[in-house]
Amino acid sequence: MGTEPELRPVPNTAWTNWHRTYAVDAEHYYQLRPASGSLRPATFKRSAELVLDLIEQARAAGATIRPMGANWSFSQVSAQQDAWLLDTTPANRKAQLGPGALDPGYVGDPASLLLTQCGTSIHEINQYLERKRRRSLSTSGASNGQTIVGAMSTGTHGSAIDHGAIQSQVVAIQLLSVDGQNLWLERPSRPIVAQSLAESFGAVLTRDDAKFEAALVSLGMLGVIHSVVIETRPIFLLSASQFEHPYDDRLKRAMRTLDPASLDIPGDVTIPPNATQPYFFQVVVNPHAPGDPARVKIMYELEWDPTYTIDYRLQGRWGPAYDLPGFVGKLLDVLDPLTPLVTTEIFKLQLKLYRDKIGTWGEIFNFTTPRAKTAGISVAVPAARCDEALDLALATHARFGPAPIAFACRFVQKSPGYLAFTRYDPSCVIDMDGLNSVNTHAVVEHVRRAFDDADIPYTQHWGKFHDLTGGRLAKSYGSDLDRFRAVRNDLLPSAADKRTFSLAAQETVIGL
Amino acid sequence: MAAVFSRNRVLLAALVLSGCSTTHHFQLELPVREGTFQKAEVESFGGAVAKNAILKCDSNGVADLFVKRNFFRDLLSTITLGGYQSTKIEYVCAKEADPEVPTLGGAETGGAATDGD
Repeated sequence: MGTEPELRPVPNTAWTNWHRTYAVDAEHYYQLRPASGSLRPATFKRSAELVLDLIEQARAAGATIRPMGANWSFSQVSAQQDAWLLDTTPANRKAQLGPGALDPGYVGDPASLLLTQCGTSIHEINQYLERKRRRSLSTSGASNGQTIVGAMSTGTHGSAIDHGAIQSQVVAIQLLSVDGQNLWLERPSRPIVAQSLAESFGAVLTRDDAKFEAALVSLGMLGVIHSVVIETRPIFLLSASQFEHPYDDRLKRAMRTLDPASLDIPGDVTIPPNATQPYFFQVVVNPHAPGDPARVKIMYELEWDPTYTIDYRLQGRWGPAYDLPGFVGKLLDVLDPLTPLVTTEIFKLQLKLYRDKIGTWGEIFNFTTPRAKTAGISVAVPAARCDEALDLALATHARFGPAPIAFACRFVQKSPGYLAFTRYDPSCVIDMDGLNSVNTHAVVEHVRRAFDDADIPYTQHWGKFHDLTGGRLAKSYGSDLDRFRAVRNDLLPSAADKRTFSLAAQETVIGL
Repeated sequence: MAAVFSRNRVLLAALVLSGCSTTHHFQLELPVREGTFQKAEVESFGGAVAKNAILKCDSNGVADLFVKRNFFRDLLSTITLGGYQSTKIEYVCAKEADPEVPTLGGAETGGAATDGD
């Protein structure tokens, strides 16, 4: 016998997100803690019941619950003032699913499935899959600190060019909502678990495309996602290289087509035999040095080597200090002329050139050292218009800058979820990351307006800084926004229900 | 040479600006975190009387520790010849690892189960 799951109150918590871009004083703050020991259906069910009780308490009090992951988002997409904050990070239990837990109609390898609780971090998943099961995620974001549900709920993506964003690996969702709704959501075309397993978790097996697509990227606006099942792949290695390449027609063609065959890859980059396509492709351009080459990162898939030793440990080394971005951002707001020099130096420091670095997915996308007061801003455009959009962003920066940012293009297949921001087939994500300064936000808004004026379709990353207006949202998501609304109305019919899972920053613009 | 010169200018500007406060960051080798930042402060007078800080983490300890230094705090310590010293920190707790991953609904589901590296 061990301890039971617990919803631990931590009143009056001063909450800050990981990048320290906003803070909330939470009078009501709860941590969802798992039972001691490994995952058992009875304690998993009890954990869900605790959350359902909290939902009803919040609803009765007229309060809003904000479920939170690892606080990784830059934007105000998780915590909000006056809400009851539900910290899910301790809830990290996992289970494999054996034949008896699966629907008779399940098609696939049971070993590929992993049931994981909402607060499990990407690192924990990587470590378990790679070291214990010799399996791997197909894709994730560029670092590993997010929780699986936090990352999927905001549509986090990588740049694995044949894959969608992180939620494309999710095949089942346990959603807890008002009136005791404990739903086990799957696609009708892809049955996963047996009804008996869902029932052992207290959940109602619900095979419904609309609810599943809405829940995949739902920003905590439908309820609390207590667990998910993800589909993994056999372990593999990556060979990563970063090199300079002229920002020319060859590179632009590769960006439009996601076919790096036209690239002039340096001779000292090892291309594995039989490799027809890289696994990962990214292009970074420094807007402060227009004639300089871009920095291209390319990764090839290698077969797993059974003698390879996996090591995720951080190493102490010199690098930019924790506070540097904050200081330099403030400096550049008052000393514009220094921006090109400073940004170019940071560009070189952050994007070092290297060849044939070998690692597993979890090693390559490992822990990153956080920096306070950095800014992350991303828009997705159709890949076919990627170079056109990037050229427009560069021209806009030249006109309205300088701002301490660089432009990185990453590539993602069209991703599931009504509110998936990587919705183009395929998508080019233009990251405008840099220092969190006034100039950064001003220039990025000019870029968005330039896209509006040029009629370049785009969406904005939910978890990064954005400036979503009702008009922009409707233009970005079209009828999928209506589909999301319909599911929300179905699950949360009354105004009181909706208030329980309100996201204030989006309510006004989405009109939900 | 020009690159070295420009890099030095950037570092100099950063040093001048950051001279008033600095954050030192300590991390576990594998910083698997739970929750948000918490704060604590220690103070001592002449090494005789001290206010200790309690870090409110479960038995898994601390994943990240941020030690905050600033000019005025150090100046106060210098003026009192080290008699008064204080340090503010922020920290993030480490989370308990999932002790074992069971297989629900049957035997091991295959895959290349291993004890790891």
